[in-house]
Amino acid sequence: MRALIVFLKCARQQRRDPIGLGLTLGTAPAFVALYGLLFGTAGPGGGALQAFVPGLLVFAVIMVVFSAAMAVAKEVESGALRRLRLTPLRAVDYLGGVSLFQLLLGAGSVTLTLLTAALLGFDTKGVGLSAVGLGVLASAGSVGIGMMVATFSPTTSRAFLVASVAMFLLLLFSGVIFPRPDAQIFDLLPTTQLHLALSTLWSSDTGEDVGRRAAALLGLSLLYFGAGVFAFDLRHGLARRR
Amino acid sequence: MRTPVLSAEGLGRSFGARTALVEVSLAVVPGELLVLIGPNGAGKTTLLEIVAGVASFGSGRLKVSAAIGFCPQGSLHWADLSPREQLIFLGQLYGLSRRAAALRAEELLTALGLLSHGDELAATLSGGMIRRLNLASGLVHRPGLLVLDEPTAGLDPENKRFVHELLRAETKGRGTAVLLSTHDFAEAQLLADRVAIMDQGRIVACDAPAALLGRRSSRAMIELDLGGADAGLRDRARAALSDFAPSARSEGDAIVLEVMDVTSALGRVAAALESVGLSPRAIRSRARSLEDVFVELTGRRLTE
Repeated sequence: MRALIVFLKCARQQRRDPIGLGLTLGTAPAFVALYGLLFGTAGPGGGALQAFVPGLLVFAVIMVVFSAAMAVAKEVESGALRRLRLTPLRAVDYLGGVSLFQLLLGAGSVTLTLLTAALLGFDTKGVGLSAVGLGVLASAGSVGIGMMVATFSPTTSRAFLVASVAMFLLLLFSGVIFPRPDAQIFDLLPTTQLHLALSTLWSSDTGEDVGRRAAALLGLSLLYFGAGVFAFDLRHGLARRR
Repeated sequence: MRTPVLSAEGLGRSFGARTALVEVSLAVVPGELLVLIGPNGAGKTTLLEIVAGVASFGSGRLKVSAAIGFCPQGSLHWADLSPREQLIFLGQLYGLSRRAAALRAEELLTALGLLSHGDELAATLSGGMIRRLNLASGLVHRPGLLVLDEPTAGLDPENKRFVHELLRAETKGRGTAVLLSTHDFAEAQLLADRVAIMDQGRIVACDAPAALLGRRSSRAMIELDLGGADAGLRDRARAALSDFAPSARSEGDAIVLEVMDVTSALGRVAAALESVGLSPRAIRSRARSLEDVFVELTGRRLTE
């Protein structure tokens, strides 16, 4: 119940920041539109857009890292988190509410990205909903990474910088832009798994392969989410009073 | 005899080599307002944070038998929410229904004179309003013990009045126990049922203001306004006065001394000043204040 109260507070705050909301939800769809307009959809299988969309979906998921980290860092910076520490609110309720809202943003961003692509001629091959589902799973990992970023960020500007470092890691070593390094450690990035899962999904592989990728993504996302909540709780524990 | 809602015995706390609290004992009963007064670094904030449960103590015993409302220093609010939204949000976190939280928010906004600003974003409120919002946030859940760290520091008289009235209503009307810190002796004298004077981590005296002022009640204070006399001359005058008033001290351009009898002391004062070639611009006698008691107990002024 308290998580829901926190969720509603987050929604109210986000409503007051339409530019932030627009950037979180609209950046990836805007780039999809730009790519669509610049490169068109000509060519086999939807042309360039067909190649770009999985990467841009990964980018949409990465935006959640920024959004989650900065939303929480704002509470740390303003002292609002100190106020919350004086209430019976537990960390799990606070982070549950915040995470649920961020997950919603992630789902919105992924959905809008895919819808924009589809409107411009991207062929979802009838598995658009599955792609959104994979994006939401990966968003949970992004929220967890966002919490870890917030753990080490006393201010929103610091959160932005630390999230940028995380973004480079998530983007450059996941095979989205450059070839994925051989080192298997990079398979532990949720973005790597999302990219692989989306590629599998749209390469007409068997459902079993996609299921395996989705399971890996779920496991990783839960791991990151858990680690993020644990780190944040350790640093800013709520409801730990006498 | 009412049972204390707060009872502390022999509390101690150190930060590395620095000792913040030494054997602090105090109790606060329902409806009582206890003021902690002391210089910066006396241990007031540490004690308040320990009582509020946000800091730990190293030794001693502490018992709190009521819900605590804590208002630390600094602003602890959401800039992008209105005061009403924040109070409702906090009320719900304390388990109130949305309707009950809304009613409580209305009540607090009215009591603290924030009703007309209740729906404006906190980012647009003045510093004084934010302080009042901070106080309201600590009161949302109707605590039995209110712990306030310098709630009126930096407030103008109008804002102070709102806070003072609310505190009176809470203590005398609802029976809330209040423990607050301040640097303002006049405020302490005005509000407190009891005043605890803190210095270097210890409570050096704790009693009703009248009782504290009544210590050595036969004494009176003489204030000598020395105008623009230079510091060296003032020091020589103070030394001369110390022969019969050892507590003589400088306060800005003045020297303040404590005497048994004003009339008989005036001749000696005049002689002492004459001996150093100084004539005061004005001589005033006044009643003892809590600040005089503080100086008497600690040997220094609050600002030293």
